[in-house]
Amino acid sequence: MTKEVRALLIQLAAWAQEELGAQRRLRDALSEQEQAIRHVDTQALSETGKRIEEEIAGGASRERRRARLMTKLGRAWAVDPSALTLASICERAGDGAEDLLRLRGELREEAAQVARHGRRITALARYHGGLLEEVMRVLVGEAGDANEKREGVLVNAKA
Amino acid sequence: MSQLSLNTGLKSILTARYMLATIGHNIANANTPGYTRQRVEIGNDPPISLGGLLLGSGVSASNVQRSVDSLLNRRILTQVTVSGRLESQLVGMTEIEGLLGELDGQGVGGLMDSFFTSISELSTNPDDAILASGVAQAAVTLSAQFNGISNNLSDLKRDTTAELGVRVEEVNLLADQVLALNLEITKIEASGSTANDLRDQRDVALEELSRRVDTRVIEEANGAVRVLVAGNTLVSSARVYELSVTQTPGGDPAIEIEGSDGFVPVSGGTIGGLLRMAGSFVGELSSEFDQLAHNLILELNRLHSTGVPASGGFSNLTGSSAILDLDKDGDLRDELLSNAGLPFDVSSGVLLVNVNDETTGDVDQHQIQISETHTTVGELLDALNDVPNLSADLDSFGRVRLLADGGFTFDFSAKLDQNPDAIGSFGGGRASLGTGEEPFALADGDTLDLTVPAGGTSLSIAFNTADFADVNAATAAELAAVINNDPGAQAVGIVAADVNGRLILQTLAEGSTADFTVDGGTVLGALGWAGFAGSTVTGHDNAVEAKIAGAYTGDGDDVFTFVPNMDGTIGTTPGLIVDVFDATGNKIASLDVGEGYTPGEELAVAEGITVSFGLGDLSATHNDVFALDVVEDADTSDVLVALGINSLFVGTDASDIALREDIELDPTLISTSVTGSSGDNTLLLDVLGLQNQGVEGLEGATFGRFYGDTIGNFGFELSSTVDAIGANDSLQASLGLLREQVSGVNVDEELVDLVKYEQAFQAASQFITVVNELNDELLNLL
Repeated sequence: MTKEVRALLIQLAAWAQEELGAQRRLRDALSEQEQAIRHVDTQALSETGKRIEEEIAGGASRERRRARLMTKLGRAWAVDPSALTLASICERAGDGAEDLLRLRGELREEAAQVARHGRRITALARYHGGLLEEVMRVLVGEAGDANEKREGVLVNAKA
Repeated sequence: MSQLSLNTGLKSILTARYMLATIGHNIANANTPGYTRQRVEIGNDPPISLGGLLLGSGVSASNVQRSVDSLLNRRILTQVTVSGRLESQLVGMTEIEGLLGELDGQGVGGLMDSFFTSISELSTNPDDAILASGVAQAAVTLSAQFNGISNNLSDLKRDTTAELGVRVEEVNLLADQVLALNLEITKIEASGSTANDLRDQRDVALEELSRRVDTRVIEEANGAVRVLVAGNTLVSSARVYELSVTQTPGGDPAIEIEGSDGFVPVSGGTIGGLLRMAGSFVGELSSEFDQLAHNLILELNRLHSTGVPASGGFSNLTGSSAILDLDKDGDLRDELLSNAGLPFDVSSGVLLVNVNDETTGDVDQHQIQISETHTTVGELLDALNDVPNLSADLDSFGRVRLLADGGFTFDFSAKLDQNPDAIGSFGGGRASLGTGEEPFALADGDTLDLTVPAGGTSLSIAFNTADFADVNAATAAELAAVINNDPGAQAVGIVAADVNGRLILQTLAEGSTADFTVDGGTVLGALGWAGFAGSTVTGHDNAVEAKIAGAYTGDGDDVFTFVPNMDGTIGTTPGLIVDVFDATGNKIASLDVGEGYTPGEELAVAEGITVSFGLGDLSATHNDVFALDVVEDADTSDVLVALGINSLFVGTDASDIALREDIELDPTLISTSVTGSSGDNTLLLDVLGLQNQGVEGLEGATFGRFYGDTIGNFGFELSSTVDAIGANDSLQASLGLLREQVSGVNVDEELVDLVKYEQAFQAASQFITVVNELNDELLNLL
């Protein structure tokens, strides 16, 4: 293992540590948002939305940093960077990537939890969207923006 | 684990659905009367122990509650009850205000003023037929206003009673609604739910009930309410006890409730207001107008019946009130005057009847004693028939009818006897000798010896104990009766008279040739004539003519006695004075008729009375005297008013007061004087004086004051009601605002909340989408 690869693995572990913290904060925010939706608490919904927005914004720089590290590792190992995953990197690095391997496990677990929260909120949101649409239609009628409102239901069906 | 999550998610979805549905329900009912804002009560569900861990199980809606402040609602119900009462009162009062006519100057007060003004105008020229017509017109207008008010108040009472029936039916229907809602609410709430909308409907029904009657609402544990009206159950858990309208023994409307004998004392709400309006309020106002009209009729008729029209006395008169056969024996004559169904009371007193000789102008005055406890209709008719040249009977309606003989008229005025010395005992043509004042201490068998004419026939008149109530205190009347009944006296033409307690002995013949000699006798000492034994009393060729004028203005009846202070000739003898004494012996005037007095000149005596003396000689030695009866009230018994004889108004109260029909047709029949003399306005002035006199039947108030108090009290009530409504409205508005804050729906707020949520929710959805995408990338990377 070259000195360069060792240094890249250390930087990748640092990124994973940072990403793990971000995922935990995101999970907390999603939990709070789920509560806000359940309680129809507009203010809490706005506040948690803002926190999620900040997390998403912070994620962009981490994503760029991760992409640079992966590109350098791909070049060092003469492989396509898009084919690298944390699991394949740990396998290639062997004993030299123990920390990264541990962090990868924790990060996977945390990301899975965030995904579950996301799916639950998505389901919740879909139902709420329908209810809100129905209530608004009863109160203000369908004229004008009825189609627009239908298009505006922002639910990720894939989730 | 996944089952727990699924359940948690499902509960949160249902909770949110309840909340959103409730917001929609609130907005949809924002304008529904009585709707109470609802809110979903959310509670955290108890945690579930799983694998030694306590896991949260989410949230759920425990209940949908109405936002209600029960205390506030009770206060609002109370105010609604007050409001209902005040508003129904105000409606009635406003109607009364209009019918009183005070706003357009056509009220009784103004018309009474107009009536008295027309009397005042007539008093300036009592003989003027046009002015008399003005009085008649004013009286007709005043009567019509009284009648109108009375009829309108009766109509108002009838209409109000009819409206009471409608309101009571509404109460029964509302009570049925409350009962039906009670049943539904208890059924639903028995399952643990809250029947919010049904409770709202019941609250609306209860508020409507409270607007009509004063209710007390008691909520039972099962959610049903019992409704009490003035302590009586209107709605129980099982049935409604219906209200109905009935009448009190006094004819006022009242409310009764099914299953109870007594009246329900409803005092609040529309029904309470209507009851007060139809009962005490209209009743009291009507009673006050009746009282005013009754006393106006009584006082005006008291004066008018003893007056004389400008045209003079009456040849015939018929009363306006009929005698009733109260003992049902077919005979009206045996009815007691004071209990013969007459509209005004008859009390003990005296009725003065004047019969006027239209040819000579002589007035024949008679007094008829009326006893409240004894005098019957027949006795009155007999007494009237005893008056010469007057006859009385009952017509077919039972009314007293009076008829004067041809050449005579009659009246009941307190007129003065214009020629009070009819027998000539005051310097008259007859030979006349008088005594001092009675009583006279005679002894049984006393005699009076006379020769009539002097040197002619002698006679002796004996006085025996049997002729007197008390021979030792004989009266002038008893002595005169003995003398006048003596055949010897009658044969020689000697007569005696009682002049206010003084015995006057006279010849029937007049002039200087008429004379008699007092020969002696044992009675002379008792009569004060001891000095006249053997003296001859001679008549005069020039009889003194004493003429009375004016009208008596004093209080109470009296007798004025006129006596000279010395012997002398009127207009010639220096110091010749005529002293005037009242009934108590007080000298009230000293009239100088001696040297310098022009015979025929009127001299003021007292209390509106004047006297003039013609030429002639007066003798204090012979106790010349004449007496003048003065009467304040010619009918102290009010029998004329009761019988409606020569009345101005007929009727008894505001409902039937009217100007006497024949006066309406011929206003010159209005009595203007107590003498019947042309230009005499004394009766009219007495009528005018009524304006400022306290009237016994009006608790001492004048007509104007009584009416003013009546209207003032009404105005105060009206004003108080308006003020109370204003205050109540403010309070109700304030309470309503408080209720709105607690229970009302603010559509804007609810919509804004909903839109805000929608926006926040959409934003959150956006982030979640991004998060999900990022998360997918991350999981792919791992």
